[in-house]
Amino acid sequence: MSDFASIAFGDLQRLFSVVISFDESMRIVYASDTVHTYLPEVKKCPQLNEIFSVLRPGKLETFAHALNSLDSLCLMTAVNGRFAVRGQFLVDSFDDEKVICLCGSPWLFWMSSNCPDVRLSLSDFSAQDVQLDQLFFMTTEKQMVEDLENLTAELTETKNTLVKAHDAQRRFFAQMSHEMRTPLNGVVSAIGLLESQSLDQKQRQLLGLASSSSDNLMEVINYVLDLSKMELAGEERDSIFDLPQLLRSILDITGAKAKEKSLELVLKLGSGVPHCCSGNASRLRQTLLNLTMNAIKFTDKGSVIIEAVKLSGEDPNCLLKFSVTDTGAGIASVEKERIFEPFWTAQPEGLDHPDSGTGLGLDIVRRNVEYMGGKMGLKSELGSGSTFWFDWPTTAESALTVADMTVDKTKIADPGTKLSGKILLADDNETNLILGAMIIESLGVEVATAHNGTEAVAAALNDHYDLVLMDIHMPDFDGLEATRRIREIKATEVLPIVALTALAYEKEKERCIGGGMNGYLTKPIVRQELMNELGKWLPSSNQLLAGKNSMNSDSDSRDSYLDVDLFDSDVFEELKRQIGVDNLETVLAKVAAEASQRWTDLVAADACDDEAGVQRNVHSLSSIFRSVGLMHVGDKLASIEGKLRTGEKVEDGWLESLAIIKTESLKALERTLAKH
Amino acid sequence: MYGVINNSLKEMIYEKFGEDKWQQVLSVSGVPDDSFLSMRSYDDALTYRLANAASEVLGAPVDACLEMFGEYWVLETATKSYGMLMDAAGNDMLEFLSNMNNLHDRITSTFLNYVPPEFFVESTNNTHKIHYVSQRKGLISFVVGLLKGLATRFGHDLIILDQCDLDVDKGTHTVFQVELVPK
Repeated sequence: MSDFASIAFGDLQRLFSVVISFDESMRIVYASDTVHTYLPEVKKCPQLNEIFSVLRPGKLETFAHALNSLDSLCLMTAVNGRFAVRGQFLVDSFDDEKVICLCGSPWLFWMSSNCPDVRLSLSDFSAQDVQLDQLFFMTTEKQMVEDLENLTAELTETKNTLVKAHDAQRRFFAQMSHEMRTPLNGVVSAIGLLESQSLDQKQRQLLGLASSSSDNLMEVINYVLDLSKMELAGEERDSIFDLPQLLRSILDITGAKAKEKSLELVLKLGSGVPHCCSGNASRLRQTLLNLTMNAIKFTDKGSVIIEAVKLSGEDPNCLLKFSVTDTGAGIASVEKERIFEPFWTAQPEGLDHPDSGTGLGLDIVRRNVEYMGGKMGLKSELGSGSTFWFDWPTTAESALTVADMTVDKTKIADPGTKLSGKILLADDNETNLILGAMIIESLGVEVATAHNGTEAVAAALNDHYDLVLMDIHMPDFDGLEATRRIREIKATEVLPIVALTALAYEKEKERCIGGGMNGYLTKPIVRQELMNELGKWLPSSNQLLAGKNSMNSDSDSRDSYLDVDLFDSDVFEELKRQIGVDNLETVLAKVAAEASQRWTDLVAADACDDEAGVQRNVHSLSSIFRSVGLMHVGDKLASIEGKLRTGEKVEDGWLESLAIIKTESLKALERTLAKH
Repeated sequence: MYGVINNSLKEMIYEKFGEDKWQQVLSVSGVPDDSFLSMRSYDDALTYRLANAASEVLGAPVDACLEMFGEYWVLETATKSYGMLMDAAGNDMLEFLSNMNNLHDRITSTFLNYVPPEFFVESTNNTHKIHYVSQRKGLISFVVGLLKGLATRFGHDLIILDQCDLDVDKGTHTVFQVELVPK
């Protein structure tokens, strides 16, 4: 019995469309029909290597090589390049002679790549051969890729179309809002002036209606502008800012309204709230402002409390919680869900609140809080007031935190304060000039007008003015160019310039301040806002510190919250007793000027690593501040001086932290003076 | 039915009648998707809804629409997407039909849950009886279109001499008696 089993060639050919048998001399003795179809020359029983080049196994020159490769894949291509086979060797017998059979099929992938014009037939593959399945699978894979590519292309096209449409819509809204603000400027200003006239009750009632309607319209326009700003959120950057100062600015703006309604306005700061924070200051300000304004609007008696507490977090990262609590009518639980939707307004007991507004503020609040990565909520019951709260993740930028404290009722600029001085109002719009001049004069300030950039520059340089109110868009050259020309001669300390523009964008504000202006007001001119702004720059009866501009021109706040922490009144009282009240102003102005000079020297010395200079100025400043009772900043300086002397490391950013305390301290001093 | 069928129907209406008509078909059918993934299996009902909607929008009987689609499938979609397999399936109409089951067997190993139809041919002289057996109903006109498309592919006109629907428990068994006339 032979040592190999014989398999009938018919059976082999059923299983394998390609069967090629060769004998021990490597001569082809048999080939199946498929091989004959594509390689007719096999009829002549040639040597295997005359017809095929062998790719696998690596070596197939002798019969023994083939016997050694029975478990290997065999890949062979026809020498003429028109056919290729894949398969496996099998030992069999042919005419009682031992042969090796290559059993397999056409090598489909090689042929479709190298001789695609040779058309194979389904019958060239046996039923069990998986190559056709693979081909089909590859076809479907290709289709899948095509599907995805088509879908991606469709999506991209749709997205681009949407983005374009959205941009166009945003530009349209922004432009439209801008265009609406300009005529509304006239309406609001005219109403403001009419309100100070003597009117009968009916007229006053109608005027009140006109006033609240125009306020609402302004609110809608601002809402659209705010939304446009949010669309540009990607362009916003976080900044480092003084949190208590930001909170006081909220009170600054809302204080007058609270006072008008005889509401108590209270700011509470929990201990551990960082002084210096990193985040989006303008959104935080807008959020708190909207909540506070709302609270005041819907509260007829009692109080509005703004509170900031530290919820959690290890330095420097922490989570703060802000809340605004009022003693107003409260909100029914069914309304709580809807209250953050645009155009929702409170309707207590089925009646419109006399000043219910447009219902857009809370929508902006919600969007802002979400943008800043916080959560917000509402706690309220009908008849028991409301608390709107939100949390706000931030990074403390200095180790300085505020002490636990409560500040009652803001000391705000008295609406009755009369200002003095002379203002130059530059605007190309005659209506704006007339209305603006009337409002300014009603504040007791003398006013001159300029109709374009050229006139504005000429007047500002040739005459004496205490301040310039500068329109940005003027025909010959704009307010920024005018400011640039004025600044070549007159510095910011000599002549304050405040921008007056219809564009209520943060970017516009940055452009103005960056362009050498001192402040920024949006049109239409609102009497209270104008007064607050002018109050910063113009002399008034309750302004005592002559050196104000040089000392704290970076601040717009004049409130008295942190005084207890910053200021030792005993020292101050002693000083007052010694030099007398009448001399206080002069002496303190000198102190302020001296401190300002020393501070400038300190910063300069630090900038050029002049250690001796730093030490000298730190010492002087410490002494100056302590002499007038500003113990907190004085002590800080003394501690730094000690470290500098002993070579101990001073914490990073000490100068920046100190700058904030210094500014706060000087403001506290100023406020104390104002009380005397 | 796989998405490739629905895509083909969409392409046909797009190419022959324009995008607006396709949008109308889609709207009338109530089918929410405008795009189909070739390899995803969709409910048969969706394809029937599209075919009925096409009939309504184009103002043609649904059988005429299905027949047109059958021809389009062979001459456009299958030729474009499965060209190599189509080429391998035969050099003439009868060889192709005899390989059709083999071709469908291959598809079954890739498209899982796919139950293909079966075709058998009985030839006598110039007339041929083509048996179409399927588990589906309602696609006879589509098959007529396929056969006509195949005849065109191989340079013939297909004349249907007789069409007989056999009584079966489930699906369809139709016998077409046809004659192939060279074009």
